[in-house]
Amino acid sequence: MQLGSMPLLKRWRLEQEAITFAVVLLLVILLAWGSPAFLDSNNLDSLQTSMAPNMIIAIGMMVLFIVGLFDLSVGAVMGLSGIITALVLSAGYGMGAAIACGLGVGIGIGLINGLLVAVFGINHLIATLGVMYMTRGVIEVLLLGAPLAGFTSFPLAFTMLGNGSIVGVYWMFLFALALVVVGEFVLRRTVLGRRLYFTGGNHDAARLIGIDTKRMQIGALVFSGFMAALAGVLVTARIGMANRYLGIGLEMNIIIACLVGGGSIAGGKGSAIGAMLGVAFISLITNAFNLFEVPSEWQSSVIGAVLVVVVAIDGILLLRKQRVSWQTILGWRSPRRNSATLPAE
Amino acid sequence: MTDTVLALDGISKSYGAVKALTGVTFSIARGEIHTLLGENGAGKSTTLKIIKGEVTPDSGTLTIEGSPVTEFDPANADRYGISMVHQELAVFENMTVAENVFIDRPPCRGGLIDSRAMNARTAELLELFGLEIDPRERLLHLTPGQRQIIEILRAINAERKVLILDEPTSGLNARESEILLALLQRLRAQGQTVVFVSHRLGDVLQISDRITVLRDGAVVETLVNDGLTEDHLVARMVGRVLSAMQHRPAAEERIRQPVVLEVEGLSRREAFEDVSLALHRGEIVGVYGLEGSGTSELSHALFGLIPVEAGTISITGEVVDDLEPLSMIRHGVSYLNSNRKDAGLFMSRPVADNISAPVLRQEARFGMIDEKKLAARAVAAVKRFAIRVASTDVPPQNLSGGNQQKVMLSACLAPDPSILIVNEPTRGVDVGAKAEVYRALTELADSGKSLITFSSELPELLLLADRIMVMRARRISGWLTRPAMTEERVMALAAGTR
Amino acid sequence: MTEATSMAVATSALAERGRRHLGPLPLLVVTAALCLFLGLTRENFFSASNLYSLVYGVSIECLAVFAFTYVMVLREIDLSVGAVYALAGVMSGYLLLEGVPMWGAITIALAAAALVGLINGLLVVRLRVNSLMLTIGTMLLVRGLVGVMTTTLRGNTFPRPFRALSREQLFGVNVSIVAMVVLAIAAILFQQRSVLFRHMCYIGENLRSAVIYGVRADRIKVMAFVASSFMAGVAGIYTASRITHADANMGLGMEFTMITAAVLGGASLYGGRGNAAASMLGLFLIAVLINGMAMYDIEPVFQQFVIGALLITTVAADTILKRRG
Repeated sequence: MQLGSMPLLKRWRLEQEAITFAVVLLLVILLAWGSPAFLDSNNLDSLQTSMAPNMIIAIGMMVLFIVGLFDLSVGAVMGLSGIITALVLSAGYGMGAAIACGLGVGIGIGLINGLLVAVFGINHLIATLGVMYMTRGVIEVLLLGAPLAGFTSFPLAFTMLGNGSIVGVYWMFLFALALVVVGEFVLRRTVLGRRLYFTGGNHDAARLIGIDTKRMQIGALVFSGFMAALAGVLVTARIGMANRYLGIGLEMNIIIACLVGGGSIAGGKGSAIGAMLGVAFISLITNAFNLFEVPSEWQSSVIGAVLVVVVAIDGILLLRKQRVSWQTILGWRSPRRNSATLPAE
Repeated sequence: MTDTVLALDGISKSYGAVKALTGVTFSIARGEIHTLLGENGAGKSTTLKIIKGEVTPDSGTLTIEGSPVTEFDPANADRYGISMVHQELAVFENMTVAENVFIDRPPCRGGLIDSRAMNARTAELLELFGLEIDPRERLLHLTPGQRQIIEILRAINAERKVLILDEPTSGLNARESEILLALLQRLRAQGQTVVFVSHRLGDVLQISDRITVLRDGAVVETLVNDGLTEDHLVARMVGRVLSAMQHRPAAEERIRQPVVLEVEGLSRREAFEDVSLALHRGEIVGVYGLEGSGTSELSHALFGLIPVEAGTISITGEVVDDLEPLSMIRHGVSYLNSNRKDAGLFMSRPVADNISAPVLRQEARFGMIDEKKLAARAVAAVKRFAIRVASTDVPPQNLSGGNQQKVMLSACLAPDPSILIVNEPTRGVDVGAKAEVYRALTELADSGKSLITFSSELPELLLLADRIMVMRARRISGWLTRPAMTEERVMALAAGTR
Repeated sequence: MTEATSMAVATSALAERGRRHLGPLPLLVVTAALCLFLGLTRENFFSASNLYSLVYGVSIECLAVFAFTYVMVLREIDLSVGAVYALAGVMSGYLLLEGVPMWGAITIALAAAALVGLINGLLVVRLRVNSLMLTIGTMLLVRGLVGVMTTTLRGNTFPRPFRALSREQLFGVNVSIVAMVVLAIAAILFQQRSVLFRHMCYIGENLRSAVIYGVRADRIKVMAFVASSFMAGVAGIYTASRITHADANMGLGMEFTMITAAVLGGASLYGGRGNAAASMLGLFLIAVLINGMAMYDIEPVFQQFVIGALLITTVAADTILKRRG
């Protein structure tokens, strides 16, 4: 049986990712053209080391998006796992033990999130938000009285995790890229990956065909916790100290990166490549602010605006699919109309 | 006799006071296409649910492959090799056609999904249907009809002993259903057993070996499809007995009353086409159509709940330029929703609040509610409709279906509308409450109100309506007026091919 | 006989209504018990100055939680309150230092706050977007603007007349306390008697039912978002006047305190109910808890942990009750 031709992007289901890629490419060209410092090795180093951990977290977040959830505690988990790793190392234990403890923290918090969401049925926004607060609280308690830049005596091997590079490419960046490839492969080619898409795409139908959707949700939250912890360990290795401010506000950036990269809060779609591209987009925007010396305060505004635009476009596309006219969407038809009239058929 | 795959013997099932099935007995032979035929609510879906193991019967036995089923749970379908296409779509929009077909057991090589094999096999299946769909296309880009076919392919692909298709052609256009029927015949030739549920008599006669007709939760007869005509089937489907209620006396002069609501050329893609009707003062117009005929969308559109793409609605000669619920209400129209769980009631707010919901503003002074007035209104409604409720502060979620329905009707009538669009007025309501609802609706018409009643229960419409508009395949297939209005003629218009 | 039936129906209706109004009582009891406990174990808790500063601090946030609660009743959420609160405060200060007269500056700042609410509301009803995601976006957007303005201001102290606003007194107490009391009473009346509040409950409980019965859901939602931002703006201006200079961290995390307080006060994430006066009580409970922790020398950093735990516990209780109901 011969299949007809189909555009490559469509066949690979990467249309939205392609748009993000085009935008990222455009940004790279603009930056390289507009600022001589962009291709400077210092700048490329900082781009790589800031992108790598975010990419790792974004893969975890994208898996959550695929099953129809998100996790606000990733930034705090990243912080805590970094601190735990640093504490264990400083206490004289080996590197393996320290990393295992750091990752264990992530898995544990992920499991708590999973139980709260899937078993107790608590809204995932609130559950992960509460867990974020509690995790931040634990960080503060752990570092009580510690100097701001405490725990700096790390073994060289550990520091190398975050600083080692080959021909200008950081190990951790390569590692993140490898995770993207593995993630993409698992999502596309394995039964597990498919079940994740089924769970988020149509929760009831997924249950009907015998998928244990609760286990999928818990698994995804644990995975996201694990990935955040992994990023925390790497960043701690990179900066060489326990930092209590690590990952503050990061969750929003990651969520926005996932939305930009083709994920949807409605669930059922997204890709690891999209997560990577979304992170690249956010990182390049941030980088642009630095290069052009725009006050960093504007960053938040631009990222917020991007989120508003993405959410709005998503809404418009959905309404257009239901064949709602432009006049109705924009509301210039009549001041009396009520938009909430479409029944769920 | 040929060997029996599946047999039901004296199966009965009640939901509370409502009897869904009584003593249902029939059997399905290997390699036949067996059709279950009946009106909406005749008991087909309960029968299917029992076969699939989702519902446990109160009495009777279900035998599959010679051994009686003792435990009823949803895993039975898998265990006994039954595959089912649901009426509601259970598809995944963001996944490809092939991924939707191979939903439970994708072909694997070395533990990984073999996309190539999956796409190739799906392409074969699609070819069987004569469909030119790329297996790598996402379902999002497909029409509802195509999506339905994908679901059917999924069931066929599972290669089970028994394939159940519940209203498979309702979402398909003529060409697609032709292809489906041809495919089913080919499957039968390969020895596949098929249970087919459909309203479309033409389709049923074309492909069935045997037809079991259900009515009021009981088997009327199992017929061998040999020389049967549509009339044979219609005669067995109809004839439900309803409580001894009097028909509304016929009155020719009603047609001579002024037209209060006029619909002209109303259309909405994939919903209904070119619907026109005129409603006179004091008249009850019934609208009948089997599932997928467009009646439910029409009922929403008449109240402005979904947008229309062409046509107009005029009320007392004035065109409503702004088709949305608020302006319909302003024009004196009220709407009774078909599914009270979905919309129509506020399940956890007091009954009094529900009844006064549409008239809060009118009952208030300077935006402040007068609780006494609301309570009085609620008490009056409780009395008028004999709503059995401990107090008007009990929320509807604690009431029986019949009482919930009466609360909803009270709310609809609160603004004293001149036109009522009534959708399934007695769904999930016991016999006693039904009679009360009928009486209330008839009284309303007698007092000069006009009603458009949508119902899937034909006897109900015959009882209430002065005229009946019948829809088939999203269009009006005919109008019937008393005394020419009989079950047979309505059913022939709704299900027939002529 | 029918007369007797209707009498019986009416009487039991009254009884049922009484039962329903129990609502915030448990919260009141918990708060009172906590106060009593702190009062008995810590001598300075019941001191006039401690109590006054407690109430004063809460009173400002109460302005914002008032309208925020009603957004939740509508089954929407407004996470941009904290940022809008900061925006109005910092912006009015910014305008003052640019030479705009005081009332002009305040008017412009409030208009800006209301505009954010209008944008939120219009996008929610027109495009039917998820208000959670949308208001995270507007929150970041507005936060960025606040950051830009604060940097420009470089910690300059606001002019004296503006600083005097927060010291304004009425009946011997700060104006914000009077406003809180007025709002609490207004909320109780509004919730008990007004058509608008009833309509809000309808919308939150079942939007489609509300539409069938002719409730103007869109208009009410937009109004609620505007009110939420506007009230946050008022609170922000008051706070700016109180702290005398622009602070980029103003109102950081405030939205989550608001959610916690509102849910404590009986609001639900699933819409359909809420009590602004009880939300204020919820804010008070949180404040007392933090105050008490300080008095027990529990590290202030532990506060975050407690607020997080409180949030999860109240929402868990809400979810479980909802499931049972």
